[in-house]
Amino acid sequence: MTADTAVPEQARAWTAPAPASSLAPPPPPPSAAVRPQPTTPTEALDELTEVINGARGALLASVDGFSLAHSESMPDEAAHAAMLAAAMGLANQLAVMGGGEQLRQLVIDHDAGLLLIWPIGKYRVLAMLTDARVDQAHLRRFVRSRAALLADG
Amino acid sequence: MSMTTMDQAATEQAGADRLDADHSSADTTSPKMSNGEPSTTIEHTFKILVTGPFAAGKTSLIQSVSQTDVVSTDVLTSGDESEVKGETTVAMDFGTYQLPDEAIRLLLFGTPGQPRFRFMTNILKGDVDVVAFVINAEARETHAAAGVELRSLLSDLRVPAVIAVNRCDDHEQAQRIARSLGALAGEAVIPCQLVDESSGREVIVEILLTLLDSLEEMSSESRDHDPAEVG
Ligand SMILES: Nc1nc2c(ncn2[C@@H]2O[C@H](COP(=O)(O)OP(=O)(O)OP(=O)(O)O)[C@@H](O)[C@H]2O)c(=O)[nH]1
Ligand SMILES: [Mg+2]
Repeated sequence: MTADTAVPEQARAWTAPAPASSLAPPPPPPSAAVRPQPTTPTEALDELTEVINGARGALLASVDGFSLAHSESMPDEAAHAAMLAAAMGLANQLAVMGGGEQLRQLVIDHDAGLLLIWPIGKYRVLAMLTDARVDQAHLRRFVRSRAALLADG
Repeated sequence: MSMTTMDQAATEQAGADRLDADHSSADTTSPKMSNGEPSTTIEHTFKILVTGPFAAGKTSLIQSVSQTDVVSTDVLTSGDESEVKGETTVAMDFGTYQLPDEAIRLLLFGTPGQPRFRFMTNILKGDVDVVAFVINAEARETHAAAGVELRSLLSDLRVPAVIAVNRCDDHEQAQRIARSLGALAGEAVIPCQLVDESSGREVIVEILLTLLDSLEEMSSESRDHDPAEVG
């Protein structure tokens, strides 16, 4: 993946693992045949939570800590979005400490499951609460297929 | 982007056992004021909390004085805040300042300014030696809430404060603003222009003087309380 040279240094760190525009054509999600395509981020988060085995909830926030959308299963807590933004802000710097340039994923592995966090485009952050044994590869493919909607919707 | 790497790492981590079940060897002591040897390399490290309301100039202060690369967590603002400025701190700033010969080092921990990130201030404020409270003289609408925040922080931490009144050149005006925030008579107040490096350094000097004062106070207190030291 090439860095967008027009993006200022600060913003570049936020370029997502796969900005919506540079995504490969998304594979059709497994449930595409039975569910209508989501048209809003909220619908996409509900879909993710329902379709992925072991997913419990999803939250979309701006990188500066505002809640943008959440699945029905998640409470609307302003503090959650702020904590996600702070965690991503620090994680980006920790990636630099590790010699990296782009944070791809932040994993909070705790006794009750996982909290998986991804940058979505330059301006947004997606968090998913899941069981510890969730099929992460499947989850990521699914998220990727919805990244454009989550980034811009 | 490599899916394999990402997914492997994540899968391997999932459900991993805790690694810290045995606490017996954990070193929980603070690394502050470590006295190395020989005496010429004595290094006193102090933790400074740089805090204050949104857009006051906290990040600008750390950026202007830090002698090491600043760890910054500024991101693009959205909504109403983007009309005030283009970027905001979401987690922390970190910079350092070392006096050339004195072997005194300041660790500067900057907080975010918006109330929604208050939990970061709570994380960062542990073990602080001095609070540097930055306020924008021109943003009067922020002053009332800032005053409440300043007093509650200081009554909690019980450490000295330096009040840096940014975008202000006038000592009298800076004093007036500091008093309106509820600053006490003895608290250091300094007008500054934090986009300017030399002005930032004046704030650092004020912090150092405040540290010296409090160290002197502490040592005279310990002399008063320790008869063995007197004789
Ligand atoms: N004119 C002028 N502008 C300043 C001065 N100090 C800071 N600024 C500007 O004021 C804005 C606020 O600066 P920051 O340092 O980001 O403020 P902050 O307190 O870290 O803000 P948050 O982290 O978002 O709470 C920036 O756009 C600075 O360039 C100053 O002394 N004079
Ligand atoms: Mg800042």
